[in-house]
Amino acid sequence: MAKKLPRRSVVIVGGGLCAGLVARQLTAKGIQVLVLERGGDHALGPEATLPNQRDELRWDRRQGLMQDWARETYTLRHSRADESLPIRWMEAFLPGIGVGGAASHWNGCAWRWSEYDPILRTRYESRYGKAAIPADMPLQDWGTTYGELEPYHDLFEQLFGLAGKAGNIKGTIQPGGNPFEAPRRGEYPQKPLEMSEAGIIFQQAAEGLGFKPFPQPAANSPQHYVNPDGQRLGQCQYCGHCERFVCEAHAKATPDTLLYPMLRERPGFEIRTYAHVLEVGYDRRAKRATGVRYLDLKSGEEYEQPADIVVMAAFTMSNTRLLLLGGIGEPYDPATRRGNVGKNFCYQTSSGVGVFFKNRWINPFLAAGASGTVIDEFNNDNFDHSALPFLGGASISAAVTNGRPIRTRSTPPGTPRWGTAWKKATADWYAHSFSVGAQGSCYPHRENFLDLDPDYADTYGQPLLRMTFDFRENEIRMSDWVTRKAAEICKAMSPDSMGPVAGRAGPFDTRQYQTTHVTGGTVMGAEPKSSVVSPHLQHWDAENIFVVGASVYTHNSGYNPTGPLAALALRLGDDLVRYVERPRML
Amino acid sequence: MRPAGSGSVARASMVAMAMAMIGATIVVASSDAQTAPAASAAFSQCAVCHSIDGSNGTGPTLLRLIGRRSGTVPGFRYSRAMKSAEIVWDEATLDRYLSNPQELVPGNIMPFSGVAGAQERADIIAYLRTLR
Repeated sequence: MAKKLPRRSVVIVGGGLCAGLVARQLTAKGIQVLVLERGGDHALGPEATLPNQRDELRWDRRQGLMQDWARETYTLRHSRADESLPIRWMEAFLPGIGVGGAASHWNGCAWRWSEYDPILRTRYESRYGKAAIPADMPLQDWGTTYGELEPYHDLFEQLFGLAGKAGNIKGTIQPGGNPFEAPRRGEYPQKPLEMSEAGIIFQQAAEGLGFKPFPQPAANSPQHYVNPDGQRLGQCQYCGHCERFVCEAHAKATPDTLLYPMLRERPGFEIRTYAHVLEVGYDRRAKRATGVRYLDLKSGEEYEQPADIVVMAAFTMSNTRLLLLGGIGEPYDPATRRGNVGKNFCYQTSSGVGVFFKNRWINPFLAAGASGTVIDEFNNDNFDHSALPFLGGASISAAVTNGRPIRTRSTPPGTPRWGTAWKKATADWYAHSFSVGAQGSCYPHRENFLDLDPDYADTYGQPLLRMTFDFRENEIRMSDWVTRKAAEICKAMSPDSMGPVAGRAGPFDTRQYQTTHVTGGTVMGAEPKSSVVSPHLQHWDAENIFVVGASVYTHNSGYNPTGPLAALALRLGDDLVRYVERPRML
Repeated sequence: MRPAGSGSVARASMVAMAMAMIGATIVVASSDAQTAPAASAAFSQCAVCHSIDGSNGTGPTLLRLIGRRSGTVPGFRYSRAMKSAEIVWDEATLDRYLSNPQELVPGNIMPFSGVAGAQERADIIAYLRTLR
């Protein structure tokens, strides 16, 4: 039997970015916070110190900082008619283990989304008419606006010392920035990172075609930086070990560098590591969370932790799974379209075109995780869709993030897949090639959803989360169109050769790295009948449960998802201060 | 799995202590008001990894650095390059090292590319001299 612990005020499930930001706001007001994190600490471990930090085999290929797939994985089927199977090794997205969560091993691409993303349904309907949105695409507004989140975007960017070039300050378009950027109050806290050789080639070609390339907003610090909390970042060394790694130079802005060391000094803050949450206790009659039940992975002991408020800030997939395991809210059923938990599950629709230059030195090993050069002309609804057979779009970029030796094996078309000729081509082209990527939106589809698998369980005996997902017609058409736009830029670079031009198509293959961004499952919205949580992220069926993370997104955009979820988490922290003072439906 | 990270808790408190002590130094050194605030501002980039209280973090402590032989702080795991560098840290060697760490000690693993400004280096070294 689980041992019952003394009651706590606020208990947060998961010790990642959202939990750190929520706890920052709460502890600043003297409110006690307990964070439960299933992994341990990365600070000063082999992952965070040289020379072991550079072990590509250990941290990258063997995913030393990720969820252990032998203990807990997901199952996948491409349609309701298929049989689901467990994923034995995952590359399609990378849930983290340990303090900092996935934001510990992230690349640092830190976008604000389009101003219209939180009101996407309204935007498409007002621009193209109600009939433009297909019946099987449940696009929904968030119930909040970019304007409400802007102060929190600004705070997050100050805290994480973002480097970039503003494209739109209070409605005035700025040269050198992204002209499609949502209006910001001012410049980025830091100037952009150095542009890579690939970025220079991309910039020239894109400008030649009349586009407006700009530096990607980055959480890799180009200079030493001290944030408003007095927390420090070191200077990025462009070592090419960001995503899947812990930055030993403390130059990548992460929760484990900027938030948790500070929080641990604050009275009223506690984090318990190796605490794997099994269940959020739910009193169905009172419609309230009672606390959480967790397993101490060091001792094997099970604990019941009563709580006044439960904040679910685990990985996207875990938030949905814990609601389903706890029977909190009605599970989504695509046949009847009843229920909301598990719906609007989205990935991203990404593709790329390789370019090869005999006489240009790309030197891909000289890179920061987010040192990309991007155009936004074909992203989301930044262009006219009225004559096009799809909605959505993609950011197109030259974003060289690394040249790690095991992973970086780019060869031109026609190269044999093995043997002497392959080895020679690998050596010839390693320093002379890169890929122009298209990171595309993925809109919800009635038949893309999450539920509990009826057959497969994790190592603790709990049902695995089942993905029913594939790329649907809208995404396939969008990717085909945008990938051809990317290829036009590639041609304008006059490379010696180019890789195949092919948009993303099904079947969804989790063995391939495409992007790492999954969203949805516990969507936010103004209407209880179509959402799981309110615009204040409060569960409609349990006033004292709050859910935060990309699981509340109703669709996925052509940007990395971190910016808005950080803004939502900071705002949730402030909302919780009000809730603690006077508990009610906010 | 590694055992639970008491190391990180220690590091967090170490960083906080280092910050508190930097603050204290500014106050104490107010008789030397010309250099002390500038020095601690320049030193801020070192404090990302180095403590001034005798404890090791990502980098070895910089307490009592002046006059020390390179690669000799007990308990810190140095690179082979630094262990065999045979340098005594004084104003001259520190200035050379800080201007380009890889030039003076090729192969050392401090992830830092150096301080370009001569005055900034002088400020840092002046501050290091106070850490006795």
